[in-house]
Amino acid sequence: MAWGWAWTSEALYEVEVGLDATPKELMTRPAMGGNWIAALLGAGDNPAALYCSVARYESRTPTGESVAYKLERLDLATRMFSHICDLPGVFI
Amino acid sequence: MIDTLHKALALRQRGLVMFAAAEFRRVPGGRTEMIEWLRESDDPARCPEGVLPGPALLVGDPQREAHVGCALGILGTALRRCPAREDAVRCRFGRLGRNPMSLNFEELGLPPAVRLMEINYLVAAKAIIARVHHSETKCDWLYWRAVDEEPRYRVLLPQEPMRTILSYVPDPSGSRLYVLKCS
Repeated sequence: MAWGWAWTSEALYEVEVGLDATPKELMTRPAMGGNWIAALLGAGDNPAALYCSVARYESRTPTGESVAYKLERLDLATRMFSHICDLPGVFI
Repeated sequence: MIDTLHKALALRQRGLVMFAAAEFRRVPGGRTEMIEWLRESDDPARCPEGVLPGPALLVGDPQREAHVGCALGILGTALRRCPAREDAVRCRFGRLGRNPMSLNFEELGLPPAVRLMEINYLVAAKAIIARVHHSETKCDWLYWRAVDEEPRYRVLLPQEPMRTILSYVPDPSGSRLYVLKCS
């Protein structure tokens, strides 16, 4: 998956919308290990959460390293991901 | 199987998660048929099997995917406004076939040499957010414009060349954004 190789860093920000907006960093890719957020898909506030497609490295296979794409819920209070369903690819 | 997942939206009133997705199928004759789905799940373990499939809306022209994406953007707005799922579906079907992205760049106050990728209206902030692609830096940048003020967009975030916006979503109140950047 070339996208993952090319990215050296990734960060998730919360931004209050207005003049002189100051973004607050919520999470960086190293905090997720070898996995990364492929895209933000939606936001919910009860409780506050983001719905993301997430790429997760799985065990090596004879043909190389395997990456699985999943729809996950990121709890903004705990910074914990919970699995919703598997996705067939990174395209969104 | 979901081929393209456009949106995942929380419906707070019903405690559901809605998924707007498109599925591409090869059909006899070599045509590609695209079917849009509106899916829901109140139990994450059952998704995507526990879903509500919609009817086929667009057939035989996968080049129209961008238009579908626009329509699904409207769907997102409709879902936030309509607590009843059936109303949201009707809203969406009623808007298909129109072009909601007919925008004049000079009127918007966006700089030249940019391509509009996505636009959102933030209700609480009374502002418009535009994600545009800069051809010079080859990055996606975010601009915002207050609705009641001069029609001039301003860069929302400190942007660095070669550090692009992957995606963003507004929160349900429409007062803030969550932005995913990478380099």
